[in-house]
Amino acid sequence: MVTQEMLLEALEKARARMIGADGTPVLPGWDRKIQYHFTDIDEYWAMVVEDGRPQPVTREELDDPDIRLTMSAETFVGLMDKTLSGLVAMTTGKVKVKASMADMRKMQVFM
Amino acid sequence: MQPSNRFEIDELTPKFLDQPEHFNDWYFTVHFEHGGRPLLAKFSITEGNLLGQATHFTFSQDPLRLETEPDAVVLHRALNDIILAEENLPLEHSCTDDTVQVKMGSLTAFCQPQQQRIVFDKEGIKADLTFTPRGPILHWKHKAGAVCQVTDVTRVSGSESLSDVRGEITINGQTMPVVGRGLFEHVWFSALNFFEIRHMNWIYAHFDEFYMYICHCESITSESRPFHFETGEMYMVINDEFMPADSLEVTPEQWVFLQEARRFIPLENSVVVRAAQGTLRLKVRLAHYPLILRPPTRLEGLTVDNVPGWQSLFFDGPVTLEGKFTYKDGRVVPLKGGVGINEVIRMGAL
Repeated sequence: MVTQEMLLEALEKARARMIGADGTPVLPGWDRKIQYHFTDIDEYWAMVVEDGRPQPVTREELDDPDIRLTMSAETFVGLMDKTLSGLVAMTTGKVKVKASMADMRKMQVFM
Repeated sequence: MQPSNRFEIDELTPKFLDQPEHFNDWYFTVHFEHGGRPLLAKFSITEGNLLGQATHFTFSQDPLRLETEPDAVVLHRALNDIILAEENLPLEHSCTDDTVQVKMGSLTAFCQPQQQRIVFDKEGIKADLTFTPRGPILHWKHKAGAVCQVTDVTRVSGSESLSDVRGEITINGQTMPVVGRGLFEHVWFSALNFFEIRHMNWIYAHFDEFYMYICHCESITSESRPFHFETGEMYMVINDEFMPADSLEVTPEQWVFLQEARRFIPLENSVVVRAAQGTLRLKVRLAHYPLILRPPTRLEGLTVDNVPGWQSLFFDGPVTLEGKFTYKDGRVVPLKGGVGINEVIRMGAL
Protein backbone atom coordinates (compact mmCIF):
# COMPACT_ATOMS: atom_id res chain seq x y z
CA MET A 1 0.00 0.00 0.00
CA VAL A 2 1.47 3.31 -1.09
CA THR A 3 1.10 6.10 1.43
CA GLN A 4 0.65 9.73 0.49
CA GLU A 5 4.15 10.37 1.80
CA MET A 6 5.62 7.71 -0.50
CA LEU A 7 3.73 9.14 -3.47
CA LEU A 8 4.94 12.68 -2.80
CA GLU A 9 8.48 11.40 -2.37
CA ALA A 10 8.26 9.66 -5.76
CA LEU A 11 6.92 12.82 -7.42
CA GLU A 12 9.82 14.77 -5.91
CA LYS A 13 12.22 12.21 -7.38
CA ALA A 14 10.72 12.86 -10.81
CA ARG A 15 11.21 16.60 -10.30
CA ALA A 16 14.77 16.15 -9.06
CA ARG A 17 15.76 14.15 -12.16
CA MET A 18 15.07 17.19 -14.31
CA ILE A 19 17.80 19.17 -12.56
CA GLY A 20 21.47 18.30 -13.10
CA ALA A 21 24.13 18.03 -10.41
CA ASP A 22 25.20 21.60 -11.15
CA GLY A 23 21.69 22.93 -10.58
CA THR A 24 20.92 23.60 -14.23
CA PRO A 25 17.95 22.02 -16.04
CA VAL A 26 18.60 18.76 -17.86
CA LEU A 27 16.07 19.81 -20.50
CA PRO A 28 16.62 23.56 -20.95
CA GLY A 29 13.99 25.30 -23.05
CA TRP A 30 11.42 22.57 -22.39
CA ASP A 31 7.96 23.86 -21.45
CA ARG A 32 5.38 21.17 -20.74
CA LYS A 33 2.38 20.36 -18.59
CA ILE A 34 2.54 16.80 -17.27
CA GLN A 35 -0.53 15.07 -15.87
CA TYR A 36 -0.26 12.05 -13.60
CA HIS A 37 -3.36 9.98 -12.95
CA PHE A 38 -2.94 7.37 -10.23
CA THR A 39 -5.79 5.00 -10.94
CA ASP A 40 -5.85 2.95 -7.75
CA ILE A 41 -6.41 6.02 -5.61
CA ASP A 42 -8.03 8.03 -8.43
CA GLU A 43 -5.85 11.05 -7.81
CA TYR A 44 -4.66 13.52 -10.43
CA TRP A 45 -1.33 15.28 -9.91
CA ALA A 46 0.27 17.85 -12.16
CA MET A 47 3.77 19.06 -12.80
CA VAL A 48 4.41 22.11 -14.93
CA VAL A 49 7.87 22.48 -16.47
CA GLU A 50 9.08 25.92 -17.50
CA ASP A 51 12.33 26.26 -19.41
CA GLY A 52 13.29 22.82 -18.12
CA ARG A 53 12.62 23.73 -14.48
CA PRO A 54 9.88 21.66 -12.84
CA GLN A 55 7.52 23.68 -10.68
CA PRO A 56 6.18 22.21 -7.43
CA VAL A 57 3.71 19.39 -8.00
CA THR A 58 0.06 20.17 -7.44
CA ARG A 59 -2.92 17.93 -6.89
CA GLU A 60 -5.19 18.90 -9.76
CA GLU A 61 -6.58 17.74 -13.09
CA LEU A 62 -5.30 19.89 -15.94
CA ASP A 63 -7.48 20.92 -18.88
CA ASP A 64 -4.85 20.50 -21.58
CA PRO A 65 -1.77 18.55 -20.47
CA ASP A 66 0.98 17.91 -23.02
CA ILE A 67 1.86 14.53 -21.49
CA ARG A 68 -0.54 12.12 -19.76
CA LEU A 69 0.80 9.32 -17.56
CA THR A 70 -1.71 6.84 -16.17
CA MET A 71 -0.74 4.11 -13.70
CA SER A 72 -1.24 2.92 -10.16
CA ALA A 73 0.56 4.76 -7.39
CA GLU A 74 2.40 1.54 -6.61
CA THR A 75 3.69 1.31 -10.19
CA PHE A 76 4.81 4.93 -10.08
CA VAL A 77 6.72 4.40 -6.84
CA GLY A 78 8.30 1.29 -8.35
CA LEU A 79 9.41 3.24 -11.42
CA MET A 80 10.86 6.04 -9.36
CA ASP A 81 12.84 3.77 -7.03
CA LYS A 82 13.90 1.69 -10.09
CA THR A 83 12.46 -1.59 -8.83
CA LEU A 84 10.37 -1.58 -12.02
CA SER A 85 11.70 -0.77 -15.50
CA GLY A 86 9.80 1.62 -17.72
CA LEU A 87 9.90 -0.81 -20.64
CA VAL A 88 8.48 -3.63 -18.54
CA ALA A 89 5.81 -1.32 -17.15
CA MET A 90 4.85 -0.26 -20.67
CA THR A 91 4.83 -3.71 -22.20
CA THR A 92 2.79 -5.24 -19.39
CA GLY A 93 0.19 -2.52 -19.53
CA LYS A 94 1.01 -1.12 -16.09
CA VAL A 95 1.54 2.34 -17.56
CA LYS A 96 -0.37 4.26 -20.17
CA VAL A 97 1.42 7.13 -21.88
CA LYS A 98 0.11 9.82 -24.19
CA ALA A 99 2.79 12.09 -25.55
CA SER A 100 4.32 13.46 -28.72
CA MET A 101 7.23 11.74 -30.45
CA ALA A 102 9.54 14.52 -29.32
CA ASP A 103 8.49 14.14 -25.70
CA MET A 104 8.81 10.34 -25.61
CA ARG A 105 12.58 10.59 -25.48
CA LYS A 106 12.65 13.47 -23.00
CA MET A 107 10.44 11.51 -20.64
CA GLN A 108 13.30 9.07 -20.10
CA VAL A 109 14.92 11.81 -18.02
CA PHE A 110 12.28 11.77 -15.33
CA MET A 111 10.68 8.34 -15.66
CA MET B 1 40.82 5.77 -46.24
CA GLN B 2 42.00 2.57 -47.96
CA PRO B 3 40.04 -0.58 -47.11
CA SER B 4 41.95 -2.66 -44.61
CA ASN B 5 41.84 -6.27 -43.46
CA ARG B 6 42.80 -5.17 -39.96
CA PHE B 7 40.87 -3.31 -37.33
CA GLU B 8 42.25 -0.25 -35.65
CA ILE B 9 42.41 -1.09 -31.96
CA ASP B 10 40.20 1.94 -31.28
CA GLU B 11 37.39 0.32 -33.31
CA LEU B 12 37.27 -2.54 -30.85
CA THR B 13 37.19 -0.67 -27.53
CA PRO B 14 34.00 0.09 -25.56
CA LYS B 15 32.74 3.58 -26.33
CA PHE B 16 30.77 6.23 -24.46
CA LEU B 17 30.96 4.43 -21.10
CA ASP B 18 31.14 7.84 -19.42
CA GLN B 19 28.00 9.08 -21.19
CA PRO B 20 24.59 8.97 -19.53
CA GLU B 21 23.28 6.84 -22.39
CA HIS B 22 25.31 4.35 -24.35
CA PHE B 23 25.33 1.09 -26.30
CA ASN B 24 28.10 -1.23 -27.44
CA ASP B 25 27.85 -4.64 -28.94
CA TRP B 26 30.36 -7.34 -29.78
CA TYR B 27 28.42 -9.64 -32.05
CA PHE B 28 29.63 -12.92 -33.53
CA THR B 29 27.85 -15.34 -35.86
CA VAL B 30 28.94 -18.47 -37.63
CA HIS B 31 27.19 -20.42 -40.39
CA PHE B 32 28.52 -23.95 -40.76
CA GLU B 33 27.46 -27.50 -41.51
CA HIS B 34 27.55 -30.56 -39.33
CA GLY B 35 26.09 -33.94 -40.16
CA GLY B 36 24.93 -32.53 -43.47
CA ARG B 37 22.75 -29.90 -41.81
CA PRO B 38 23.15 -26.13 -42.07
CA LEU B 39 23.61 -24.58 -38.63
CA LEU B 40 23.94 -21.08 -37.24
CA ALA B 41 25.38 -20.03 -33.91
CA LYS B 42 25.19 -16.47 -32.62
CA PHE B 43 26.96 -14.94 -29.63
CA SER B 44 26.44 -11.35 -28.55
CA ILE B 45 27.50 -9.08 -25.75
CA THR B 46 25.39 -5.94 -25.58
CA GLU B 47 26.30 -3.21 -23.16
CA GLY B 48 24.62 -0.07 -21.95
CA ASN B 49 21.29 1.36 -20.96
CA LEU B 50 19.96 2.15 -24.42
CA LEU B 51 19.05 -1.43 -25.40
CA GLY B 52 19.83 -3.22 -22.17
CA GLN B 53 22.85 -5.06 -20.85
CA ALA B 54 22.80 -8.75 -21.82
CA THR B 55 24.50 -11.70 -23.43
CA HIS B 56 22.81 -13.97 -25.94
CA PHE B 57 23.71 -17.36 -27.33
CA THR B 58 21.47 -18.87 -29.98
CA PHE B 59 21.88 -22.06 -31.95
CA SER B 60 19.64 -22.54 -34.99
CA GLN B 61 19.37 -26.03 -36.39
CA ASP B 62 15.75 -26.61 -37.44
CA PRO B 63 14.48 -25.80 -40.91
CA LEU B 64 11.47 -23.50 -41.02
CA ARG B 65 8.21 -25.09 -39.80
CA LEU B 66 5.75 -23.64 -42.28
CA GLU B 67 2.08 -24.51 -42.42
CA THR B 68 -0.02 -23.44 -45.35
CA GLU B 69 -3.47 -22.24 -44.37
CA PRO B 70 -6.13 -21.08 -46.84
CA ASP B 71 -5.27 -17.40 -46.47
CA ALA B 72 -1.69 -17.39 -45.20
CA VAL B 73 1.48 -19.37 -44.56
CA VAL B 74 2.09 -19.68 -40.82
CA LEU B 75 5.54 -19.93 -39.24
CA HIS B 76 5.66 -22.05 -36.07
CA ARG B 77 8.37 -21.97 -33.42
CA ALA B 78 11.45 -24.11 -33.95
CA LEU B 79 11.50 -27.20 -31.74
CA ASN B 80 15.21 -27.71 -31.27
CA ASP B 81 16.77 -24.26 -31.47
CA ILE B 82 18.64 -23.14 -28.36
CA ILE B 83 18.39 -19.68 -26.83
CA LEU B 84 20.35 -18.70 -23.71
CA ALA B 85 20.34 -15.17 -22.36
CA GLU B 86 21.89 -13.45 -19.36
CA GLU B 87 20.68 -10.02 -18.32
CA ASN B 88 21.97 -7.12 -16.25
CA LEU B 89 25.47 -8.45 -15.76
CA PRO B 90 28.49 -6.14 -15.49
CA LEU B 91 30.85 -5.63 -18.41
CA GLU B 92 34.48 -6.34 -17.65
CA HIS B 93 36.98 -5.02 -20.16
CA SER B 94 40.66 -4.41 -20.62
CA CYS B 95 42.70 -2.96 -23.44
CA THR B 96 46.32 -3.41 -24.43
CA ASP B 97 48.12 -2.27 -27.57
CA ASP B 98 46.91 -5.29 -29.50
CA THR B 99 43.96 -6.81 -27.63
CA VAL B 100 40.62 -5.59 -26.38
CA GLN B 101 39.10 -8.12 -24.02
CA VAL B 102 35.44 -7.83 -23.06
CA LYS B 103 33.67 -10.24 -20.74
CA MET B 104 30.07 -10.43 -19.66
CA GLY B 105 28.68 -13.49 -17.91
CA SER B 106 29.48 -16.62 -19.88
CA LEU B 107 30.91 -14.82 -22.92
CA THR B 108 34.42 -13.49 -23.37
CA ALA B 109 35.61 -11.78 -26.55
CA PHE B 110 39.29 -11.32 -27.35
CA CYS B 111 39.44 -8.73 -30.11
CA GLN B 112 42.69 -8.14 -31.96
CA PRO B 113 43.27 -6.14 -35.13
CA GLN B 114 43.88 -9.20 -37.30
CA GLN B 115 41.45 -11.68 -35.70
CA GLN B 116 38.83 -12.01 -33.00
CA ARG B 117 37.97 -14.86 -30.69
CA ILE B 118 34.79 -15.63 -28.77
CA VAL B 119 34.69 -18.09 -25.88
CA PHE B 120 31.46 -19.33 -24.33
CA ASP B 121 30.76 -21.76 -21.50
CA LYS B 122 27.29 -22.16 -20.00
CA GLU B 123 24.93 -24.97 -19.12
CA GLY B 124 26.99 -27.67 -20.83
CA ILE B 125 27.45 -25.66 -24.01
CA LYS B 126 30.97 -24.60 -24.89
CA ALA B 127 32.38 -22.74 -27.83
CA ASP B 128 35.76 -21.40 -28.81
CA LEU B 129 35.80 -19.73 -32.21
CA THR B 130 38.31 -17.58 -34.06
CA PHE B 131 37.21 -15.05 -36.67
CA THR B 132 39.59 -13.94 -39.42
CA PRO B 133 38.48 -11.29 -41.96
CA ARG B 134 37.99 -12.68 -45.48
CA GLY B 135 39.04 -9.32 -46.86
CA PRO B 136 38.53 -5.63 -46.12
CA ILE B 137 36.54 -4.77 -43.02
CA LEU B 138 33.33 -2.91 -43.83
CA HIS B 139 32.27 0.24 -42.05
CA TRP B 140 29.12 2.17 -41.48
CA LYS B 141 29.33 5.23 -43.73
CA HIS B 142 32.50 3.82 -45.37
CA LYS B 143 34.97 4.90 -42.67
CA ALA B 144 36.11 3.49 -39.34
CA GLY B 145 34.37 5.38 -36.55
CA ALA B 146 32.22 7.47 -38.90
CA VAL B 147 29.01 8.65 -37.27
CA CYS B 148 25.81 7.77 -39.13
CA GLN B 149 22.62 9.70 -38.51
CA VAL B 150 20.26 6.73 -38.70
CA THR B 151 17.24 8.64 -37.38
CA ASP B 152 16.64 12.23 -36.27
CA VAL B 153 18.14 11.38 -32.87
CA THR B 154 19.99 8.10 -33.38
CA ARG B 155 23.70 8.20 -34.22
CA VAL B 156 25.50 4.94 -34.97
CA SER B 157 29.11 3.97 -35.65
CA GLY B 158 30.29 0.51 -36.44
CA SER B 159 32.54 -1.98 -38.14
CA GLU B 160 31.52 -5.26 -39.78
CA SER B 161 34.02 -8.00 -40.43
CA LEU B 162 32.85 -10.77 -42.77
CA SER B 163 35.03 -13.57 -41.53
CA ASP B 164 36.22 -17.11 -41.96
CA VAL B 165 35.49 -18.89 -38.70
CA ARG B 166 37.33 -21.86 -37.21
CA GLY B 167 36.97 -23.63 -33.89
CA GLU B 168 34.54 -25.94 -32.16
CA ILE B 169 31.20 -25.93 -30.42
CA THR B 170 30.15 -28.56 -27.88
CA ILE B 171 26.47 -29.14 -27.12
CA ASN B 172 25.18 -31.97 -24.93
CA GLY B 173 28.57 -33.64 -25.01
CA GLN B 174 28.79 -33.61 -28.79
CA THR B 175 31.71 -31.61 -30.12
CA MET B 176 31.27 -30.14 -33.56
CA PRO B 177 34.28 -28.88 -35.48
CA VAL B 178 33.46 -25.51 -37.00
CA VAL B 179 34.70 -24.48 -40.41
CA GLY B 180 32.41 -21.79 -41.62
CA ARG B 181 31.73 -18.16 -42.35
CA GLY B 182 30.30 -15.53 -40.09
CA LEU B 183 30.35 -11.98 -38.88
CA PHE B 184 32.16 -10.09 -36.18
CA GLU B 185 30.63 -6.69 -35.48
CA HIS B 186 31.31 -3.88 -33.05
CA VAL B 187 28.66 -1.17 -33.15
CA TRP B 188 28.33 1.70 -30.73
CA PHE B 189 26.13 4.74 -30.13
CA SER B 190 25.23 7.22 -27.45
CA ALA B 191 21.88 8.40 -28.76
CA LEU B 192 18.88 6.32 -29.74
CA ASN B 193 15.19 6.99 -30.03
CA PHE B 194 13.68 3.59 -30.74
CA PHE B 195 10.22 5.11 -31.08
CA GLU B 196 11.31 7.05 -34.16
CA ILE B 197 12.04 3.87 -36.09
CA ARG B 198 9.28 2.50 -38.29
CA HIS B 199 11.13 0.07 -40.54
CA MET B 200 14.70 -1.19 -40.52
CA ASN B 201 16.53 -3.89 -42.45
CA TRP B 202 20.18 -4.69 -41.78
CA ILE B 203 21.58 -7.54 -43.83
CA TYR B 204 24.96 -9.15 -44.08
CA ALA B 205 25.70 -11.87 -46.62
CA HIS B 206 28.52 -14.23 -47.49
CA PHE B 207 28.91 -15.89 -50.86
CA ASP B 208 31.82 -17.91 -52.17
CA GLU B 209 32.74 -15.04 -54.46
CA PHE B 210 31.50 -11.98 -52.60
CA TYR B 211 30.36 -10.46 -49.30
CA MET B 212 28.42 -7.41 -48.22
CA TYR B 213 26.42 -5.63 -45.57
CA ILE B 214 23.64 -3.07 -45.96
CA CYS B 215 21.40 -1.10 -43.64
CA HIS B 216 18.19 0.70 -44.53
CA CYS B 217 16.07 2.56 -41.98
CA GLU B 218 12.89 4.59 -42.37
CA SER B 219 11.89 6.70 -39.38
CA ILE B 220 9.86 9.70 -38.30
CA THR B 221 11.37 12.89 -36.91
CA SER B 222 10.02 14.70 -33.88
CA GLU B 223 8.29 17.02 -36.37
CA SER B 224 6.61 13.93 -37.88
CA ARG B 225 8.58 14.13 -41.11
CA PRO B 226 9.89 10.99 -42.82
CA PHE B 227 13.62 10.39 -42.40
CA HIS B 228 15.52 8.04 -44.71
CA PHE B 229 18.88 6.38 -44.06
CA GLU B 230 20.83 3.82 -46.03
CA THR B 231 24.40 2.65 -46.12
CA GLY B 232 26.27 -0.41 -47.27
CA GLU B 233 29.46 -1.84 -48.65
CA MET B 234 30.27 -4.80 -50.87
CA TYR B 235 33.45 -6.69 -51.67
CA MET B 236 33.99 -8.94 -54.70
CA VAL B 237 36.45 -11.43 -53.28
CA ILE B 238 37.37 -13.02 -56.62
CA ASN B 239 38.32 -9.66 -58.17
CA ASP B 240 39.55 -7.90 -55.01
CA GLU B 241 37.09 -5.07 -55.60
CA PHE B 242 35.72 -2.91 -52.81
CA MET B 243 32.37 -1.35 -53.70
CA PRO B 244 30.58 1.21 -51.51
CA ALA B 245 26.83 1.09 -52.12
CA ASP B 246 25.32 4.08 -53.88
CA SER B 247 21.71 3.05 -53.34
CA LEU B 248 19.72 0.05 -52.22
CA GLU B 249 16.22 -1.37 -52.14
CA VAL B 250 14.79 -4.18 -50.01
CA THR B 251 11.37 -5.33 -51.22
CA PRO B 252 9.27 -8.09 -49.64
CA GLU B 253 8.20 -10.72 -52.18
CA GLN B 254 6.53 -13.28 -49.90
CA TRP B 255 5.07 -12.95 -46.41
CA VAL B 256 4.60 -15.40 -43.57
CA PHE B 257 2.50 -15.12 -40.41
CA LEU B 258 4.84 -15.23 -37.41
CA GLN B 259 2.54 -16.82 -34.88
CA GLU B 260 4.65 -15.80 -31.89
CA ALA B 261 4.30 -12.13 -32.80
CA ARG B 262 0.75 -12.31 -34.17
CA ARG B 263 1.84 -10.53 -37.32
CA PHE B 264 3.22 -11.01 -40.80
CA ILE B 265 6.92 -10.76 -41.60
CA PRO B 266 8.73 -11.11 -44.93
CA LEU B 267 9.56 -14.70 -45.85
CA GLU B 268 11.46 -13.60 -48.93
CA ASN B 269 12.87 -10.23 -49.96
CA SER B 270 14.42 -9.07 -53.18
CA VAL B 271 17.43 -6.83 -52.70
CA VAL B 272 18.98 -4.50 -55.24
CA VAL B 273 22.21 -2.64 -54.42
CA ARG B 274 23.78 -0.27 -56.92
CA ALA B 275 27.43 0.74 -56.87
CA ALA B 276 29.76 2.53 -59.27
CA GLN B 277 30.92 -0.84 -60.63
CA GLY B 278 27.49 -2.41 -61.21
CA THR B 279 24.34 -3.79 -59.64
CA LEU B 280 23.74 -6.59 -57.14
CA ARG B 281 20.42 -8.46 -57.31
CA LEU B 282 19.52 -10.98 -54.63
CA LYS B 283 16.70 -13.14 -53.35
CA VAL B 284 16.91 -13.31 -49.57
CA ARG B 285 14.87 -16.05 -47.89
CA LEU B 286 14.34 -16.87 -44.24
CA ALA B 287 16.14 -20.15 -43.48
CA HIS B 288 15.72 -20.69 -39.75
CA TYR B 289 13.28 -19.40 -37.15
CA PRO B 290 13.87 -15.71 -36.33
CA LEU B 291 16.15 -14.99 -33.37
CA ILE B 292 13.89 -12.77 -31.33
CA LEU B 293 15.95 -9.91 -29.88
CA ARG B 294 13.09 -8.43 -27.89
CA PRO B 295 9.78 -10.16 -27.23
CA PRO B 296 7.23 -9.04 -29.83
CA THR B 297 5.39 -6.34 -27.99
CA ARG B 298 1.98 -4.77 -28.10
CA LEU B 299 2.10 -1.34 -26.48
CA GLU B 300 -1.64 -1.03 -26.03
CA GLY B 301 -1.34 1.86 -23.57
CA LEU B 302 0.97 4.00 -25.67
CA THR B 303 -0.31 7.01 -27.58
CA VAL B 304 2.31 8.81 -29.66
CA ASP B 305 1.40 11.86 -31.69
CA ASN B 306 -2.27 11.03 -31.07
CA VAL B 307 -1.98 7.50 -32.52
CA PRO B 308 -3.16 5.05 -29.83
CA GLY B 309 -1.80 1.50 -29.60
CA TRP B 310 1.60 0.42 -30.97
CA GLN B 311 3.52 -2.76 -31.63
CA SER B 312 7.20 -3.48 -32.02
CA LEU B 313 9.17 -6.31 -33.53
CA PHE B 314 12.95 -6.78 -33.40
CA PHE B 315 14.61 -9.95 -34.64
CA ASP B 316 17.57 -11.44 -36.48
CA GLY B 317 16.34 -13.57 -39.36
CA PRO B 318 18.83 -16.24 -40.50
CA VAL B 319 18.70 -16.23 -44.29
CA THR B 320 19.98 -17.97 -47.37
CA LEU B 321 20.63 -15.88 -50.45
CA GLU B 322 21.05 -16.32 -54.16
CA GLY B 323 21.69 -13.84 -56.89
CA LYS B 324 24.23 -12.21 -59.16
CA PHE B 325 26.35 -9.14 -59.58
CA THR B 326 26.20 -7.49 -62.99
CA TYR B 327 29.04 -5.17 -63.93
CA LYS B 328 28.31 -2.10 -66.00
CA ASP B 329 30.31 -3.61 -68.87
CA GLY B 330 27.92 -6.58 -68.97
CA ARG B 331 29.98 -9.18 -67.09
CA VAL B 332 27.86 -11.26 -64.73
CA VAL B 333 29.10 -13.00 -61.58
CA PRO B 334 26.65 -15.62 -60.30
CA LEU B 335 26.84 -15.75 -56.52
CA LYS B 336 26.84 -19.14 -54.78
CA GLY B 337 26.56 -20.42 -51.22
CA GLY B 338 24.78 -17.38 -49.84
CA VAL B 339 24.21 -17.24 -46.07
CA GLY B 340 23.60 -14.33 -43.76
CA ILE B 341 21.29 -12.58 -41.35
CA ASN B 342 18.54 -10.06 -41.98
CA GLU B 343 17.95 -8.01 -38.85
CA VAL B 344 14.47 -6.53 -38.79
CA ILE B 345 12.90 -3.77 -36.72
CA ARG B 346 9.27 -2.81 -37.21
CA MET B 347 7.43 -0.27 -35.09
CA GLY B 348 3.91 0.72 -35.99
CA ALA B 349 0.33 1.22 -34.99
CA LEU B 350 -1.63 -1.81 -33.85
